[in-house]
Amino acid sequence: MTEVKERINPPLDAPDAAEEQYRWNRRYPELGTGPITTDRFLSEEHFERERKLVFGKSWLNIGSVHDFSGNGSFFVRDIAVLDVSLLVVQDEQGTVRAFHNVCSHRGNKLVWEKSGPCPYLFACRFHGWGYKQDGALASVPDEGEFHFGSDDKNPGKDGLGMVPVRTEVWKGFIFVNLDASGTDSLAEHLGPLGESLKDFPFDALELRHRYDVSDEANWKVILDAQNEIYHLPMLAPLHRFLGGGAFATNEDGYTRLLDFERLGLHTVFTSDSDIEWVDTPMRTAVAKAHPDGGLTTLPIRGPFVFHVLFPNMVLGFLGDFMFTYNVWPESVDKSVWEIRMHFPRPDTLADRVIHDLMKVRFRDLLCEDVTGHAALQVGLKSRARDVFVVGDQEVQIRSFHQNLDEYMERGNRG
Amino acid sequence: MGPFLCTTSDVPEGGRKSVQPESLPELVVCNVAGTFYVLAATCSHGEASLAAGRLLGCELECPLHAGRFDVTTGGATRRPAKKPVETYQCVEQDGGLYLTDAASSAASASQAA
Amino acid sequence: MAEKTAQITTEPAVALPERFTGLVRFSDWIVSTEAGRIERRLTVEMAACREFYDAMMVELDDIITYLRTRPGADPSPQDQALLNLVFSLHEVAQAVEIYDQGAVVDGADVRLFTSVLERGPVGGTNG
Ligand code: FES
Ligand code: FES
Ligand SMILES: [Fe+2]
Repeated sequence: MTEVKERINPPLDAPDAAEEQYRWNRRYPELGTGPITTDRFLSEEHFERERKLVFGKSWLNIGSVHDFSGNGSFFVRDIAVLDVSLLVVQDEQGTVRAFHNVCSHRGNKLVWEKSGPCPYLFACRFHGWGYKQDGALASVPDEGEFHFGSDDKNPGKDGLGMVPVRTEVWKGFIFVNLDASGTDSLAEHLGPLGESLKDFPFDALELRHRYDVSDEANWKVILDAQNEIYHLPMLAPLHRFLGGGAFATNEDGYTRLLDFERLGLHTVFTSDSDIEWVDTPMRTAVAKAHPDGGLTTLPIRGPFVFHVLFPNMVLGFLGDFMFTYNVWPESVDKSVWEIRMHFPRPDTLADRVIHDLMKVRFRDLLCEDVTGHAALQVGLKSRARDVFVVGDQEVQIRSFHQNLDEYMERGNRG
Repeated sequence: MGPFLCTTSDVPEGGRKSVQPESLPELVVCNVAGTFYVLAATCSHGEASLAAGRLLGCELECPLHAGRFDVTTGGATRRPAKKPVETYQCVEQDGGLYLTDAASSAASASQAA
Repeated sequence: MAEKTAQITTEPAVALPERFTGLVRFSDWIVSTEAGRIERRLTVEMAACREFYDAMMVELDDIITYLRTRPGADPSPQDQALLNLVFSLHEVAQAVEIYDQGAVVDGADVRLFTSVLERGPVGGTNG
């Protein structure tokens, strides 16, 4: 594991600049100061455009290599918003490929299991057509009765493999792009964000927990609510309690972003921690579990780091703990919030105690958030207001919506 | 001795009471296990009177965002409140509760500020 | 210990490391799954939760000192039992230190948050 005992990337701005009023608007005047419309969280028409122009065109993170049980295993990923089911395979050599999980015979959903080791062949339940790990059609029962040809109009067995989906892996994260005619690479999509994390030792972390939480809110409501720390000292008991811990507040008790950066389509913000803050007896006792008192060993930009990877992924760090979110729309006002928690491999069993306490608290914090998301959706849905306002400490939200609009605009033209 | 605040029987154990001595800011008197504590009533976080909040042991909770203050020191113990509120010395005499002289001049100074 | 046992499945007893055998009185709190630990946090009465919390906080320094001597991978069944006991303490600490009740105040049902990795095969199926 990388042993880095101090922050490698100092924040871009000196922390004492944090009190400057309208600091982020000054840095990014192009984001403006206007309100955001309510309609974009409610209208079926807007949702249709997102389906087609965002989810249908963008690179999407569908999980990571941790989701496989090893080489020669698979998982199935259904993406409701696109009405697709994907079969994602890591072959014996470790290569990851995704296919439409559809049999070429008469269109049956091929694999019904959720995950597991690759079977001898992926055999369709209907008539038993069998496919190899690379997608090739290998076996057709009663093959002699089929009129296989050798061109597109009348394909032969060679042309009847599973339909591949563009798939790329970045740092262990698996991305697919359902736009078969698209040409942009994942590296282009990730742009400066990929660049900024290119040396990050993701290998040092392992997946420990995953929560798939169904959430009664538009996917952007969830993302926005997570993508700001203004609410932290206020929302609910644990938020209030931690609002002064990893999340530094100014003299008046308001959170201040330590840094915020637009990275192409993506963003990152950081928050400092409050050194004077006194934690609970439980956490204080558990801090002794590690010789460094749980000091961060990973090269992160600050005590709390939150990246939004356009369109629907979050990659965050809280000390040595890494979390990811994938917010999957199911319908305009219903989503699944997929949460994964990763930790360094434990040196001693005492590390597992630190990790579990972090997990329990973070989980309860998000449990408070779920109620908040649903309440936001209820409020928006009443259409009591056509627009709502966003403060300078919520600049991340402004940036996200502007990126979204521009992305859809380009997609419309392209 | 400074201005009269209230009679001690007005504030039973575990209770709190808003008092408004003339030309002083609103104060709140708290009774924690028989000991009286006097604090400036306005929350250090926003526009709310702590006298309308709950007294939980020796912590007074703000009714607006549930920030908390230790009544013995005035220090903020729960976010979002962060800055302390003023505390004032008081004395008991013949069933009445009074600010001390020093406390009352401190309170009028903070009123003026 | 007063508790509503209806939804709690008791697990077969597992021994703790020798020096912590004094904690066997809390063996009901040795629960191997997150779902099971959450269930106890939500259903065991607060008085019993507090009793467990108070007793464990006294032992915690010793427990942590001991766990620091144990390598991070492949714990023995006794060490795993001790970890599971501490993990239950983490749940209960939330109830005692933050919420004053088992459930998350102003939050969703914390049962929604049980790791799907504990529930057998996982796909990318959302919904
Ligand atoms: S205070 Fe921000 S949504 Fe209500
Ligand atoms: S006004 Fe008292 S906590 Fe906000
Ligand atoms: Fe939150």
